[in-house]
Amino acid sequence: MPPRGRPPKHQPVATGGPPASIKSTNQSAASERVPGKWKRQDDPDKQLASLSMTSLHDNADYYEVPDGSSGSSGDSSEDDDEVSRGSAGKKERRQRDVGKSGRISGGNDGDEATIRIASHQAESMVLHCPLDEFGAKDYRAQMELKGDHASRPLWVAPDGHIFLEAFSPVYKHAQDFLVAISEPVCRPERIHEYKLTAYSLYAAVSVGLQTADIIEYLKRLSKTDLPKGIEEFIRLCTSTYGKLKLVLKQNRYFVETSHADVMQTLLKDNVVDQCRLRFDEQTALPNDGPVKSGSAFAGSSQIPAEEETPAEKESVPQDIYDFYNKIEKDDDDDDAESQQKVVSFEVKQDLIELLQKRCIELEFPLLAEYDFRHDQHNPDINLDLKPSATHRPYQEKSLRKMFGNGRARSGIIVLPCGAGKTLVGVTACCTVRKRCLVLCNSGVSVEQWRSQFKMWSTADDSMLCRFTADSKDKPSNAGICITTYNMIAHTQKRSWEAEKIMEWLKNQEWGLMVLDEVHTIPAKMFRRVLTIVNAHCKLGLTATLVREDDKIQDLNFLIGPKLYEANWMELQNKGFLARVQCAEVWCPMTAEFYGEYLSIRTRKQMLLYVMNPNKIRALEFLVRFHERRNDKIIVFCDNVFALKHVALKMNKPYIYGPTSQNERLQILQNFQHNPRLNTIFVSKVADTSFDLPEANVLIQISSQGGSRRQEAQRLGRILRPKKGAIAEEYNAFFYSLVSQDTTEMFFARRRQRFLVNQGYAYKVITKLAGMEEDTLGLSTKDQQVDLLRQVLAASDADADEERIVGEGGKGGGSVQMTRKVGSMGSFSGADESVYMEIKGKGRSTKHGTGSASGAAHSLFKKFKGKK
Amino acid sequence: MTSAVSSTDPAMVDHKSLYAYLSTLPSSLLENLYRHPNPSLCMAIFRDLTPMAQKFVLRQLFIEQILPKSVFTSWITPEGKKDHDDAVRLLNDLKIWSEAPSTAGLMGWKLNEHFRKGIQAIVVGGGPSWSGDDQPTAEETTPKDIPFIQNYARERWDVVLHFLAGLSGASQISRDTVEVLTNAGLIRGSNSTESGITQNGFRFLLMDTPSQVWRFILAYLHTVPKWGMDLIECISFIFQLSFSQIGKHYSTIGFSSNQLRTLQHFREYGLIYMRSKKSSRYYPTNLVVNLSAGAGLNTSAFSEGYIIVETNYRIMVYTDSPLKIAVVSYFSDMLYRFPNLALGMITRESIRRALMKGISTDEIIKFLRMHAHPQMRENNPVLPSTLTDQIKLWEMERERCVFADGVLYNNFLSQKDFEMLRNYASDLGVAMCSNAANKVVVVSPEGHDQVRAFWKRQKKE
Repeated sequence: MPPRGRPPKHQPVATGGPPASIKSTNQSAASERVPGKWKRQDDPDKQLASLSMTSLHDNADYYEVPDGSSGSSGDSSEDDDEVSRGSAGKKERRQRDVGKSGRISGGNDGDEATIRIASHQAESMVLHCPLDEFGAKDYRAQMELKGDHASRPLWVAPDGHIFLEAFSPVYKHAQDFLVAISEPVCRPERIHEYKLTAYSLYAAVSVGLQTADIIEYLKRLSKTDLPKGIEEFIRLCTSTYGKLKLVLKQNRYFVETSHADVMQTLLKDNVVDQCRLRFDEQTALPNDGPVKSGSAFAGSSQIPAEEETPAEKESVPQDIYDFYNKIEKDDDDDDAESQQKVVSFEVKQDLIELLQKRCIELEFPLLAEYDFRHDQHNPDINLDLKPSATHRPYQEKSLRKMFGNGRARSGIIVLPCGAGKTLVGVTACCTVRKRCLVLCNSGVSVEQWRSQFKMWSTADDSMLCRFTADSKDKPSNAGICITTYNMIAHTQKRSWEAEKIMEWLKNQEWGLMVLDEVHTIPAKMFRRVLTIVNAHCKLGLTATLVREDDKIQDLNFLIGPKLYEANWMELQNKGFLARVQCAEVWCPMTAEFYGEYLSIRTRKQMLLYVMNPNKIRALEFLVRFHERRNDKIIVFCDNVFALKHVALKMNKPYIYGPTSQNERLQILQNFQHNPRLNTIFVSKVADTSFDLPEANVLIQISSQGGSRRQEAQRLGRILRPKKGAIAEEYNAFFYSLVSQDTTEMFFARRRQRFLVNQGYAYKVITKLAGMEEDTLGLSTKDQQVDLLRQVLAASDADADEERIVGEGGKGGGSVQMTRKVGSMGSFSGADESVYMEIKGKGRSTKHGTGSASGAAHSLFKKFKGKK
Repeated sequence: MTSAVSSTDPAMVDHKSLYAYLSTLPSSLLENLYRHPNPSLCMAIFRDLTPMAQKFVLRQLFIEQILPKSVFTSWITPEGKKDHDDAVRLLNDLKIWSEAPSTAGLMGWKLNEHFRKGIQAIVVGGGPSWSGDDQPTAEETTPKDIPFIQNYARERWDVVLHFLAGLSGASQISRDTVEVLTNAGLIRGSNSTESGITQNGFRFLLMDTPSQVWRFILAYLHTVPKWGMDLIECISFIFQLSFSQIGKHYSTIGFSSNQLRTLQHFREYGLIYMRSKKSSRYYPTNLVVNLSAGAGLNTSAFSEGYIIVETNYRIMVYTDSPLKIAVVSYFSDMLYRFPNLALGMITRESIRRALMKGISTDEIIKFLRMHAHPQMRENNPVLPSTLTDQIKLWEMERERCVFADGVLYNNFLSQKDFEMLRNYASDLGVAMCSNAANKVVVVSPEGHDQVRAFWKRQKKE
């Protein structure tokens, strides 16, 4: 037995261990069929195709959940960070990138500007990019190395990818800048990759960076000359950006600009003209003169940037150093003088989204800003941060981006799970000090937000209004309303009480709307929220700005640009996050299970690899091992059949969709405070927003296809920094149990890509040391065969993962559906089930009105070009 | 290790040291070697012996008579038995001593006379210089410094590797060198249908420089007789070089035509530097000095690290050398090429490609570790263990099938026949697998005769 206080000694595959642990030594028919199965994967594209086909075939109606909160994992085409890909695929991908960038910057084929950018990018990427003899894009001719390249950290490739040396002395200077102007692609330990996109540049401009400064600083940081194409691209994307602002005044929307010529051009467009609201009192609004003000947000410490040691300064080239300071300063003061003459027009409220879209097409994206200090119309609320609330450096940085010029910018802040997103949200509310609306995605997180407000700010019960299916507080003089997306977007009939609150919500002019877990928002239902409620400023919070579909781009104009994205590894190294050891445990399928697995082609395949006895044994071993260490363990299992089976067998409580709110809270409280309850089983309801600071071990036995987001969100459950465990190298453990030789292996790889790009490393464990000595269940063949019998007896429906019903759907007869294990009683209406006919052809559309194709707003479909 | 093996594949047989190579030579050659007027050879060999063997030689050095074997065993304690045996075998292999009856009639060990003379000369002094620096050399007007020579050596050696890797734009190398490479099995001969680098060639490129040079020299020595040159002369010259000092220059005066030819070859490979073809002076380079110590030398002196690998399977090569990138591209997909950096990705496919070329994952991992960027060296382990594990796993993936011979019994007329035979076979423990539905049984070859006899017996009944 390995010593206490250490992770189990894994038999490392590479360094030792008998190869027999991996090599299949038995001559069973099953193992001989393996090579055939693997052979299929020789051609990566074919492999993807075949696997995505199976996943569509097997799980289609699951993946395309109407609410859109779970991405389709079968959709592999949109991933440009695919790890394994042949050279043929590479070329194809490159071309697709070109197409994509064209789409990003406008998408409308008729649009001249778009074509300009797209063709321009295509030019620099394809025509001017010969491949060298090893099949790499050869940029040597376009980039000349500078003499002092060693002290500069960047390579800027003409296709927009930027590579940053993380060990460079100038790293700190470069990284803040790059996060502002580009999208991080991957950030492992030493070389980070970023990508310039039209959207990222738009975000850069919106936080106050100027075109010339971006180019200049990029030039100085670069080891080589800046490719001509990149310079042009930046100019093209930024010169028109940031000129127009969308301002909400007295519940009416105005487009403002200080550039009269821009306004002239804009109004010539018929679409814009159509959105314009013409009536005379439009001009009657008083125009507040701008008053220059710093970026002080509530509780901001206003410490000058950390002093650099002379030694550090020496290794930084002088020009970079100077410029860094300039940019940092620039960030805080605004182009105040340019706001003297402001021209504006009012917009028809229902056409806002169309206008926003049109403006992006015209290359004049609208920036949403809210000058809350001069808003006389809306009363201030009496809300302050408590003195005890202190911000970590990255929280401060993200807030400075938001309140950079004394106004509040709309946008998205990306912080890892457990890094204190809630505090950022609370601080933002305390800064704006107008009525705030907080939207989360479950009742549990509503409660958590409420307690966080009470912990960090001076808000008391009377100021906080909850609006969920279970608890509806009187909104009498509440300044802060916390609710869920479902409650707002609910279309069915509401109770009288709910109706009243809704009316109140609609009539308010909200100062700030905080959107928690904003990556779930692109679905149609959530989009409705944004048209129902009016807010001056929107702040999106998320940890994982990835979706398996490409709807993530929609956020750019639904909310605003990404203001800040933290680096996971950096936060981990500084101790703001737990240090997690990720491990993928390979569990060989037993011969009986594998035989069945190969012979059936239904969804039950999945049940077979989830219920693989070796996996259950490994789980039992790990749970016991960590319980002996007094760890708190969460076991994730998406499959309800397996969840129940294993939890009951191990005699642990479990939470899944149908578990009532009360029971959930009770289990969670016990888990947190009761030393005798150290393990809970949860389904995917706990993926997001279950704040369990104590948990430090996470075991995943079944998961949702290849969802990168789910993997990251789950990891987030154990990321809260752990107390007093600094001595150990790792203080949290994330195990993912996969059945060998099944599609699960493939999905596991896909799921891990996001975290791998954040710098996490998965250790593959083929054998858990000490498992033989432990007396585990399912050790005899009879028991295993008995389990197999049970699995085979289960219905196809059992093989499905759980579908989550939105909270608002309760009793409301919403169109959403769930498959769950039920009794005969369910059919006649027990358990709140409703039986209804669903029209639709084939399986893929069976579930719904809001299936994947329908989920996209018609607007966006057009915007994204032909699909 | 027999010489037959080494002649088929001299580059890859693992002659870790001089001793290993020499012991493959026929005794007549060794005899000639020890007879060579230059005692540096004997010294080089002596230096490479185990301490115990050295002691045996030294104790015997000035005793003219043959010592019985029992004398040697009496010198050692029981714990030293193994060392003793090793030393005896080593000396015997190298023909430094041989069995002979002693004066008392007992079997004893007789030291090779020429070897004895050689070592004696070294111990008492006298005789010609080891490294050939006794030859008068004219004062060099512009002596070359060590960095210059190292640089020259690297450039020349890279030319050979360039050619081997078959890179476009590689400068031509002499026909003799091509012959050595072909002989070494690194490239295919011009007469074979397909030309270019072989599996061994790929593996050769992944090695560190001293190992490469050592293997190349071995192949060179194998080729020398084909050119009609004297092997002994050549070996002795190499040993002489390996005792010389870097930064010093030596005279070619008095060299035989064979030696001059070798000199020109070595000049081409960068083992020595000569101002011009006709120059009467040569500088040994760092490639050849200490060569006789074999491939076990520390390698860090030869390469600064230039490779970074990340946990997300990215690989960054800080170089503008096509050769280095070519070697990396054997096991990764290259994506970007910047003036001083090439960026690629290690994937399952790329590793499988390398495995197909005959490169093993151990060689890849060793290569990555050897050339790890200084930034990587700060870590322990140098390479992320995720990466090395995964590369290993990709290799093992190919080895999951176990093949075993077997004999198939099928076409049973009835289920009963099938069951009877299967039961018999499994009772014997020779049934490898069986399938009741198709009525087939596979029996191991060892059990085949017995099962067949049983079946014939049954059919008669």
